[in-house]
This record gives sequence, structure tokens and C-alpha cells, in this order.
Amino acid sequence: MKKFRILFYSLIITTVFIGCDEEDLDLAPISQLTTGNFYQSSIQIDQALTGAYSSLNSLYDEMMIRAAIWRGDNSSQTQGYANNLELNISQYNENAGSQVSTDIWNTCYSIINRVNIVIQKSEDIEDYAQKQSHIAQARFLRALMYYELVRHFGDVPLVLKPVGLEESFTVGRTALAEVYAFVTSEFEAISNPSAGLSSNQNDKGRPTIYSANGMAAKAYIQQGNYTSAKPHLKSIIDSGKFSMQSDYAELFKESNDNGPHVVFSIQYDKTVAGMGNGQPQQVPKMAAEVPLNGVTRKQMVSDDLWFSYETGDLRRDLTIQNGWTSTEDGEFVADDRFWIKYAKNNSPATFQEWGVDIPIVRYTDVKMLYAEILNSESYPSAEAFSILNEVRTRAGLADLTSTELSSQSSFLDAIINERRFEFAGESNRWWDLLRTGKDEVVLSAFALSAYPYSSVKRLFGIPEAEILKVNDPSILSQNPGY
Amino acid sequence: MKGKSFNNYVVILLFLTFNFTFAQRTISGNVSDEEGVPLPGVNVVIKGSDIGTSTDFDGNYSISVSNSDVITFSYVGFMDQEIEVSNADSFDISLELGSDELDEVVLTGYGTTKRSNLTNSVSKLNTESLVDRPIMTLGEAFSGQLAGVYAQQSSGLPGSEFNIKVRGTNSITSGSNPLYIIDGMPVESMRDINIGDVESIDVLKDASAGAIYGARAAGGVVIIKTKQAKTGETKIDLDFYTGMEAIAPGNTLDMLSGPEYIEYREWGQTLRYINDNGGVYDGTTVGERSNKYHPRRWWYTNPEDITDTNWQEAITQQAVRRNYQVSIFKGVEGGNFMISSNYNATDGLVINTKYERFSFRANGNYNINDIVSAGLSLSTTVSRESGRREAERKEGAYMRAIVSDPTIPVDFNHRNHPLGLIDNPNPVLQMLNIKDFGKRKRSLVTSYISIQPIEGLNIKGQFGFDIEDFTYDWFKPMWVNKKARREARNEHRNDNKFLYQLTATYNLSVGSHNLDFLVGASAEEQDWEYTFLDSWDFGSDDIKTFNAATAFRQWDDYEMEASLQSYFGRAVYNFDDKYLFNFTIRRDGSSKFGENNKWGIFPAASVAWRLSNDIIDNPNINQLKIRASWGQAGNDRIGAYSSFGQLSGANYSFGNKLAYGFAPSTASNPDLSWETTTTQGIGIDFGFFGNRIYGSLDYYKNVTSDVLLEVELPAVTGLTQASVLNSGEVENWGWELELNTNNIDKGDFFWSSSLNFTNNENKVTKLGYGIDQIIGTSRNQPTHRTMVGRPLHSYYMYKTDGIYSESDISNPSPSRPLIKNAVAGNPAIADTDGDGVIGIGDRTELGNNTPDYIIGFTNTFRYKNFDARILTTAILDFKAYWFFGRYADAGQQGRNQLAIWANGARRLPSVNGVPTGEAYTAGNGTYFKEEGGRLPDFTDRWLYDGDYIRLKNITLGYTFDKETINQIGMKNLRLYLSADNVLNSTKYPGGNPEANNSEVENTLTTGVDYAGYPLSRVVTLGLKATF
Repeated sequence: MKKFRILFYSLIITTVFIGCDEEDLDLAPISQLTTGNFYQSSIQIDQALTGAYSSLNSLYDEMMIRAAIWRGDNSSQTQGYANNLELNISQYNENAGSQVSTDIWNTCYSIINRVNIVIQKSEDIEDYAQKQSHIAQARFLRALMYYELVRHFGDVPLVLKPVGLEESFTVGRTALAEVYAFVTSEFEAISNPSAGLSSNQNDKGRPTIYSANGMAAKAYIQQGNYTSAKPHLKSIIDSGKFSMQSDYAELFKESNDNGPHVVFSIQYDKTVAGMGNGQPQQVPKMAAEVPLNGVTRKQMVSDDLWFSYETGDLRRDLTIQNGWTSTEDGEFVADDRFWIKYAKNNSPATFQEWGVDIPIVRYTDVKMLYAEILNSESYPSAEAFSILNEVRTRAGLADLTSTELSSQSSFLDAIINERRFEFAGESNRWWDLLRTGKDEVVLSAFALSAYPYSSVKRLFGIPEAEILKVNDPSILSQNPGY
Repeated sequence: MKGKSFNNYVVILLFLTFNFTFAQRTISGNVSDEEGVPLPGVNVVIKGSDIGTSTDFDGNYSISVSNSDVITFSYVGFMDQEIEVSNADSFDISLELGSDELDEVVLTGYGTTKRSNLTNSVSKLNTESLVDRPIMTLGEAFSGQLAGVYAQQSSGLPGSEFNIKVRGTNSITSGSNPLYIIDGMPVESMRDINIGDVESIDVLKDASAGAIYGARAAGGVVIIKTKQAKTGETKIDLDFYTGMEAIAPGNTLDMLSGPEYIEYREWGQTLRYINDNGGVYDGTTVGERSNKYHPRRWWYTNPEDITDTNWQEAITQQAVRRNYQVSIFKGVEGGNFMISSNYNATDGLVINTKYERFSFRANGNYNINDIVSAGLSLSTTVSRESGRREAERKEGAYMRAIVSDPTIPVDFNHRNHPLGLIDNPNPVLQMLNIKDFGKRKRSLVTSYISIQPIEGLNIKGQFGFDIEDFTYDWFKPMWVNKKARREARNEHRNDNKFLYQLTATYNLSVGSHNLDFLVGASAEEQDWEYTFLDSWDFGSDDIKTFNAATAFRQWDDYEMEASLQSYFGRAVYNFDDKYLFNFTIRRDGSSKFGENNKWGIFPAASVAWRLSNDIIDNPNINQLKIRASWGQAGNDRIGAYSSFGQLSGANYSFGNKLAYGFAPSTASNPDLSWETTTTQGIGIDFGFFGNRIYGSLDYYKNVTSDVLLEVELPAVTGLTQASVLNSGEVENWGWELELNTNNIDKGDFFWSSSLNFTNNENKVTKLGYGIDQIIGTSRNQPTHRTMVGRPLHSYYMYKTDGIYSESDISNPSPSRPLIKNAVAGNPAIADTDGDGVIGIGDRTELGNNTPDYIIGFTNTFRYKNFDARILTTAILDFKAYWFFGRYADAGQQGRNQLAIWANGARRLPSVNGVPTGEAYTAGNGTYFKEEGGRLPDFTDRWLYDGDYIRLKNITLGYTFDKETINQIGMKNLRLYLSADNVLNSTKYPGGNPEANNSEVENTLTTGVDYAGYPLSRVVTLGLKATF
């Protein structure tokens, strides 16, 4: 009997313990996708590619613009906002820990990693219709990021496949020329329709072969290589798919996003929370001129720019707000100027969400660069003058002729100067000064004596955090002057 | 044949033994407790022999003795008693409660041992020293009680948990909390466990003792056992107390009064006016100057509105604490049952803050027959807390009240007042009108069935769960807030844990050889669910629930699960209570770790030699034992999915057509594993002079390797979020003393003392991945550093070196370089790197927030029916950074200032070297600053020694005579008066030097005090009655 009882109760205990058979220790996240189970189908590759595009939003409505605009002579050296991030850049005394350069660096590499994964993982999937297109788009984004990195930082790590944990501490910088060579060869390669990019100008928001041509040209020109740039610009112009708007005000209207005046632009959508453009809101907190104003940030326009516009230049008041009315007490604050290019004629959904896109390559840019090349080939070039005057006419200004611009160099000066006003508040000015070597003269004159310009500031500092992470100058060194 | 001859030998031995015990006769009697309740199962043993018996269910025994024998009566929880037989035939024994501490039972995880036979470091928290103390959260019980255990009170908010650290901090960025075992169920917290139900708390302090709990035991293991009825006992305990709370000494911060504040602001504006006016002091009136900067400065236009408000007084209250507990105990033959219920309500010092808890418990065990027994332990609690978020956080109502403008009346609604002064809501109205309410339900249940098929073998199956459900509601009405949007939050969390466990123990004694074996297997499953909603789109102040929201601002919703599979075993060998050996091993497999490292093995070994039972034969040395231990335990405190590369949503809109995308947000790390702490320890346990002096002394060294470290990966990985890697090594070492003395035990007077002393120090020996330091930042500036070769989480700031004098400014010397824009009277920064300029290289390490020494000292007195107990604690050798001081001192508009600015510490600047207006004085030891100035970089200006000595508790009690009480049907009646936080001695000006309330939970920047919730002094009057 006792034996039976022992057996019986042992059975009970064993039953209790049945719940205890080997636990499943391979539990994957429930609420998140993982790198291990994603990238399995063409749809997921497409979504991974979208994930790469996604970071363009914050990169171009804040960081890029902050860095390039504040470096040049279009923005004030005297007024900034909290943390003085921009002001320090404007005053050429930001340190390598600057949030702006850190954000640019991090975001560019984040996009690079995402497209590297797309390129690598799409290889593992058998052929599907958009495969070539996915890879070509990924290559475009990667080349675009390296273009941004190399012109901001000089030598940068060039990684073309996903980097492992351990490996990441050993990746050093690649020479500027080599990075540029990579960038231009990539843009060259994907500008060929067979690489997979669309030749339909209407493929909204995605790079087309014209985007690749435009970027190839810009990358060549940034290195001073007119010859290689020319055919790319010409192919855009010759395609007949693009046109300059006849009214400057139309260029930055949300309703004209992705119009024929745009070769490539960053897409913003105010109807989806978090995907709007925050740039237009960089205005004084209480300015009645901007709807739903609510941010304390402001990016101030330099007096130098404001007073440099020719009389009658229609672009001035479409670009800059001169003084503002306080929503609080109705008082007008005079002589306080800020950018209004993207805000004018548009309306936001919420105070930080505007729908207007940010162009990276405008057709006007393409034409003006082309004029610059033509001028470098022969003076006077009728076509070059015609392009310059097309831009001036749209701005409400009188034509310039070989009488006013009597030499090749005066034409070059004029077109660079024209670009200053045409692209004010976009981020071309600083790069124009650098590539034409005018930075020392222009910026030395512009800078306040307390904050002089020095040519070491042509490059931004490698983010201090990166230097500290790698903690080995033989692998990751700092730029001079930081 | 061999076996048979051995048996014969044993028989002969037994026979010999019997032969020698000549003149045998039988004596008998009854054993009861002090109240006359019979005690069954009392060991009745002839001293110096193995011969003995135990009492039956009615407490009766009989035993064969000779006249020269001494009989020892021993029973768990009671003092041993010895009697000499001589000629008597019968002894009725009354055993005294309380025990010989050396023979108390210590819980060691899946088993017990006698303290005298311990081989590694386990401390027992004597719950007797906690009775009568108004303890709200269980963590408070640890304060000052155990060597090697630090109970840090980072907030005075009722219901907030203490931070328990056993033998220091092993991990750099990961948690180092102990594992809690409540009635056999491993859980992550003691939250809402009612102290009134707790019978004992044992802390496994070293990895040798903890190894039996494997991958989770590196931070120590706290084993909590709840009360059970004793066999034969029937009683009802009532335990009531009521207390008054007031702000504890030193927790009131001294700020400017209304008139002082106006004077201060006028000085500031004058200063600014002079600066802006090219250094000319033109005698403009105060009103004009003021108007220039602050057009709405209303002191001049509406002087009748000026008041002198003491905001700290306005936002605090005299609070009441109440506790009611009823417990019923019934011990029957072969079983025991206990049920209890408790209500605790504690008002907070800050108005409208409160913690309330209802708890219920039922424990029972029953021997179904001589083979099978079963039992369960069930507890369920509901707790409610109000005001946690508003009162406690940085820039919460309490902190903002202290810096509120004292010229504004308390009932002044900033939003509606025409003078519209301040953007932030009035903190008092904020506390009164914001809905801030959390509700938590916790059920903790374990049950077992065990069988004893043969003598010595016990097989036990156990099942348990711990379920916690938390909801939180927060609503800010529009009218208290000038920033004019209603805001609301709603959180819901549901955490479940299930345990299945099977253990077998086997106990074998052959002669002097005693062997105990344990083998076991367990499986745990955990899941978490979390939902969170946030909105500011509400149409009305009156409906505060989310049905009234028209849109969400933020939301979150996730589920997680984890599992743990374990196998463990222990062998204990005891030779004649002289030589003791203990081996354990555990193998844990966890879903939290990477696929390449799911399983880990945690071994431990320890030995002890009881000299007093072996080579020392001195009547004054009752116990002397040396022990040595080694062991390994793990820390698995990481997220459930840290080893996975996870993807987050990352969308893009192509031509205003939304496309869904995904992008990696964390690194995939299939090698991720636990961090391992290896302990080496030695110790001595001693008892002298009839155990009137007893205690233990320990030295240990812990090496934690493969530290779970959050590493910022280089950006080329594409990841900006830090990833948890196994990297680095941390060492902790220290020594500990527990010393108990019976100083006087004479007639009616009794005095005993208990001292515990803890020393713990640490350093980082390796960080890995080429990292030699990790900087912790606050407000985007470095404030802490964790560096190889240095202690964890050290403060890393500029060091001040007095203040700049006029001549320092006018004749700068390279030996005393100036900071940017320095003026005389500014704090001078030491040029620690000696490069002649003040730069980032001058930041230096300035101590850390981890105390090196912790002392607890309890004195207990009894005289006749009166008793008194005094607990003093000292936490020594640590620094605390008073962020609040720096915050207040920044002098921003609308913020009140520390009282040191009332007079004498200000000056007007020099104009062309000639001081204008008031002369510069360094009065009060403070320095010159500009009003409305920017916050200075972090310096040791606000870094203080946190050391404190605190008279933590005094309890005075009166226990009525049993005879008197019995007449009214009571077994026991006791009245007491208890006072907590009576006196405090510290140099720290911010009240609670252990406060830690940084904006973000970040172990790298530990020791951040933004005027944390104040500590209270509690005086309670209590009654305990037993029926």
C-alpha cells in the first residue's frame, strides 16, 4: 500500500513538472522585426530601401542646411539660438564635438549602412522585376551620402558593405580623392539607363538617370572638373524633360513639388506626422508672418546678403523676411531678418510640419553650372549669357551683356554672384565659394574681427565622439584645426 | 562478506555504547514556550552523545538518562536550554523565545543550514530588530542592518523603493540589483511586499553562496520567507500604528524671502544696466532700470500684490501614516495555517501625494500523511500612489516650488492672472489639480507538493507565479498651465512570471559523516506587455479619460517574453561539525542571450573549519570558525531581445504617397552573454564568553568579467543607439564586520549592542574595444567618468580654486589662468593640467557617489516592562552633486535664489578699476555672479561630501505583564512610540545626499540631486496585541 502511495504521489509530482520540460530558449522579438528574419523578399528589400530614404528627411531639413548656410556669408555671424550651434559654425569656432557635424556624420553613415544592406541582401534573392532598380537607387543614395561626407569632412571611411561590431573599431579614413572617385564613378555608372534608374522624370522622389547625371556633374564641378561634368549637364538639358519656372515664387510652392524645375529633391509630406519639413519654421517664436509659429529657433540672415541684392530683385522678398510682427503684442521688430523662402506661400499642418520639398538639384542649378562651363570654354558664350539672363529676367533684373561682363573672369564672378541670390537659403553658396577658391577673400572680409575665417575651416571636424570611440589616431585621425 | 563484518562492527559499537551508559533510568516531562503553548518536535539530546528524542505533539518527551547526564533542549526560534539530571524524575521546561544566534537557521537557497555550519557569506536580517518600525517598503528594512548591504534611499516619496546593493556595484551600465526569492519564487523586486508578513530575510552576499541561483545572482540574492504558524499555536496578532510625518532635519532648503528677492533682482538689473550702459552708473531709478529689461515687472506697478510666500512650506504638509494588520495563526497536528490582512496608508510630505496598500496573505502547509505534504503561499496586494510624477521628477512641482518667486501669492493662477508672470504652472495648483495616479496589483503565489519515499530523501515539485498589473493616469488641465494645452498620459503594464521546479534532497548520516545532496531543475517563463498613450488633444478640463482625446501625440505598445531553463545541484559534507565542505553548480540557459551563448555554468565551492569543535577547547570560545569560499554567478540584467538586431519603422513619402520602410536600430550580437562575477572570500565566525560576544568578519574580492557594457559603436555601423556588449572588467573588494554583544544582563536590566561595518571599494580594470574611459554627461556636458584603473562613475568636473581677485583679473598670471569673460569674484578654475589656460583638459576626477564605508549600530535596552532600541546609521566617504544648487544659482528670471545671496555676497562691478556702489565682498564664502547669467560649466562648486550620520530610529516600548493581560483574554499587549530620522549630521546642504533624480535613468551619471523629494521624520504610536 505504501509503495502504491509513493508511486501515486510521484506521478502527481511528475505531472506538475511536465510544464517544466525544456523551455524554448529561442524567443524572437514579438513587437519588432529583426535583421535575422527581414530582407527575405522583394517587398522587404523595397521596405529596407524606403528605410534608407527615410533619414534623408532630417538630414536635409536641418543638418545639411545648418552647416552649409551658416558657414557662408549669407547668414549672420552675430545671432544664433540656444546652444549656439549655428552661431559657432558661422563664427568658425565650433569644436569637433559640434552636434551639427555629429548629426551629419551619423545620419550619412546610417543611410550608407541601410543601402549597403539592401545591396548585399538583394543579391541573396532570386531575380525579380525591380531588383536592378533597387540596387541602382541604393547606389545613388550611397554615392550621395559619400558626396556629402567628402565635401564636409574630407577623408572619410569608405565602407561598401555592412560593418560588423568588432570590425567597426578598425575602419580608417579613405583619401578624399579616392572617395570623390568612388562618388563620381558611381553616379556615372547609374546615369546609364541600363543600371536600373528610371528615365521617367515623373518618378516622384526617386532618383532618375537625370538625378544621377546632375549629381555626377555637381560632384565633378566641386572638384573643379568642368570637362567631365559637361556631358552630364548637357544630357539633362537635352532630354527636354525639364524647364525653369517663369516665376521665382512658384519654385518653392508645395503645389509645385516634383515639377519640371526639379531634378532631384528631398520629399516632405505634411499629412503624415513626423514627415514634414521643419526648415520653414526656423523663425522667431512670435513672428506673425509665419503661420503656426511656435519654435524659438531662428536662423538669421546676414546684413551683407540683404544689402547685396540689386534693386528690384524679386527674389529678395521671396527669400528673406525683413522684420516681423509679434503675435503677442502686435509690436513690429525691425531689422531682424530671417529666411522665408520655404514658408512663403505655403502652409503647415502643425507647427513643425510643412509639405514643401527641399531641392537638391534644381534645373536652374543645372543650367547655371552649364553656363559656367561654357564660359570656361570660350568667352563670350552666347548660350552662357542667355542662361544668365534667363535667370535674371525671372528675378526681374535687367540683362547683362559683354559690355558689363567684359571678360571670362567677370562672367564667372557674375554667375557665382547670381547663384548667391538665386540659391540663397539653399545650401549652395558655401560650396560655390570653396570650389571657386573665393572663400578666403569673401569670408575674410565678411567675418567679424573677433571670429576670423581660416582655411582650415573648409572642412568640418571629424565628430569628437567618433574619434573617442575608435580611440586610435592611427585609424581615425582628426582634421587639422580641431 | 565485507559488508557483513562492517554491520557487525556497528552493532558491537552500539552495544558498547549501551553498556557504558550504566545506571539508566527514564525521565519525562513537557516542553512549552513562555506562554505555556506546548512545543512539539523539540530536540531532547543528552549532551555529548547522539542519543536523543523529540517531543510529541503535546510537547511531552521521555528519555533514558543517567544521573550525571546533561540534557539539551533545542528548538528552532528558541534559546537552547540545558539541565543537569542529577536525581530528578521529571522536568517541565519552558523555552525562551529568541535564539542562540549561532544556531539559527539560515536559508541558503533550495535549503537551509545552521549559521554555525555556514561556509560562505550569508547575512541574516533579524526581523526582530524591525518590529515597531513604521516601515513602508521592504527595502527600508535593510537600512543599517547588514554588513555588506547598502540600502540607498534616493527619494522620500511614499512607496518609492530603496535601492539595494550587495557588496557594491559590479556593472558599469547594467543593473546590479539583487535577485529576490520570496517563499521560493525568484522575482525581480520586493515592491508591495508587506513587512508585517515577513518572518526572515537572508542575503546571500557572495557568488559562492549565490551560485546556486546562477545567471542572476551576481548582485546578491535576498531570500525572504513569510510567516507561518508554529505547531500547536493558535493566536491572533493585531498590529496597529499611526504616525505623524514632518520634513526631516536638513531637508528644508533655505531660500530668499520676498523682500530679499526683490532686493536681489534689483541688484541684478542694476548690474546689467551698468554693463549695457558702457559701465556708467548714471543713477537711474530702480523702476526705470527694471522697466528696461522687464516691462511687466509688476512690483512697481502693483506693489499691493507683493507677498512673502514660503513656497516650500506651501507645497508640503504634515502627513499621517497609518498601518493596520491582523494575522491569524493556527498550528494543528501535521499542519499550519496563517492568514493576514494589512492596510497601510502613507501621506506624502508634498501635498496630494500618497501611497496606499491593501494586502492579503494566506500561507499553509499540511502533511497529508507520513509520506506526502503540500503547501502554498499566496499573497495579493493592491497599491495606489498619487503624485509620483509631478512631485518627484526634475522640474516637478516640488523642485519648482522651491525656486518659485516668493513675491507671488500661493493661490495665484499664473495662467489667468492679468500680470501673467511665469510660463510654468503654479506648483501648488499643479499638485492640487493634476491627475497623477498609479494603481498596481500584484499576486504572488507558490505551491508545492513533496514526498518522502524513504528516510532522508525528499522530492518536491513546485509551481508559482508572480503577476503584476500597473495602470497609470495623468492629466494636466488647461487652466493650471500657461502653455495652454491639456496633456494626458495613460500607461498600462502587465508583467507575468511563471515558475516550474522540481528538486530532490537526500540526507545521509553515517557516524560523524553528514552528507546533504540537492539536485533540481527549474523552468521560468516571463512575459511583459506595455501600452502607452499620450495626447494633448482634449476638448475639456472635465473629462480626463482617453475617450475624450481626439488624437494621440505619442503611443507605444509592445510585448516581450523570456525564458530561463536551469539545472542545479549541491553537495554538503559535514564531518562531525568540524570540517565543512560545500559544492554547488548551476547550469542556466536563457533566451535573453545570443544564439552562440545561450548556456552558462556557475560553479562554487566553500570550506569551513570549526576550530572550536576541533582543536580549541576553551570554555570562553564557544565558536570559532574560519571559512574560505570561491564561486561564480552571473548578471543577466539586459533587455529580453538585446542580442537581436532590431528594426524600427522608417517611412518615406514619395510624392506625398506614403511608403512603409524599416531600418536597423540595434546591433545584432549573437555572442551576447552574461557578465560573470567571481568571488574569492575568507571569513571568521566567532562567539566568545558564552556567546555574549559573537559575530563574523569577512574579506572578499569580486572580479566581474565580460561586463554587460553599453558601447557606443562607431557610426560606420550605421547605428546610433548604444549596443550592449560583453566587454570590460570591474573589481570590488572590501571587508565586513558583524559584531553583537550582550553588554549587561543583570536582573531586570538588559543591554545589547549590534554593530555592522561595511567597506567596499571598486575599480575598473578593463573596458575593452579600445575604450579607456566612458564619459557620463548631464546637460550635454561631461559630469562623470568611468576610467580604467579608477572607481566606477566618478565625478569628472572642473576644480575650483577660490575666487578671482581684482588683481587676478587685472594682472593675469599663467599660474592662475582666467576663464572666459572672468570678472573678480567669479570662482577660479584650477589649471590642473598646468598648460597655462583653462580648457577641457582641466576637468579632473573628484570622487564618486558610492560610499566606501557603511555603519549600522543598534543598541537595545530592557528594564522590567520597558524596552528601548536605538538605531544609528552612518554612510561615509562619498560625494554628492547638488544639481539643484547649480540650477537655482543660474539666477534665471522668475527663479528664487539660495538664501546665501541675501546679503553681503554681491557687488557692483568696477568701472575703470574704481568699484561703484556696493563694495565687493566675498561674504558668506560665496562668490560673485551675474544675475540672469548662463549656467557655468560643471565644477566642484556644488559637489559636496555626502557623508552623514543619522539617528535613524528610536523606539520605546512597554509590554504589559502577562498575568494582567491574561485576565482580559490577551496573551500579549505592547505599546510603543517610535521615531524615524530623528537627527542627522551632514555637510550636504541639499537635504538628502543619497537623492538621485536625474532626468534620464543613467547609471553613468549616478548621484544627481535636483531637489529630490524630501525625507520625512516620522513619529508613530503603536499597539501590538496577541489574543
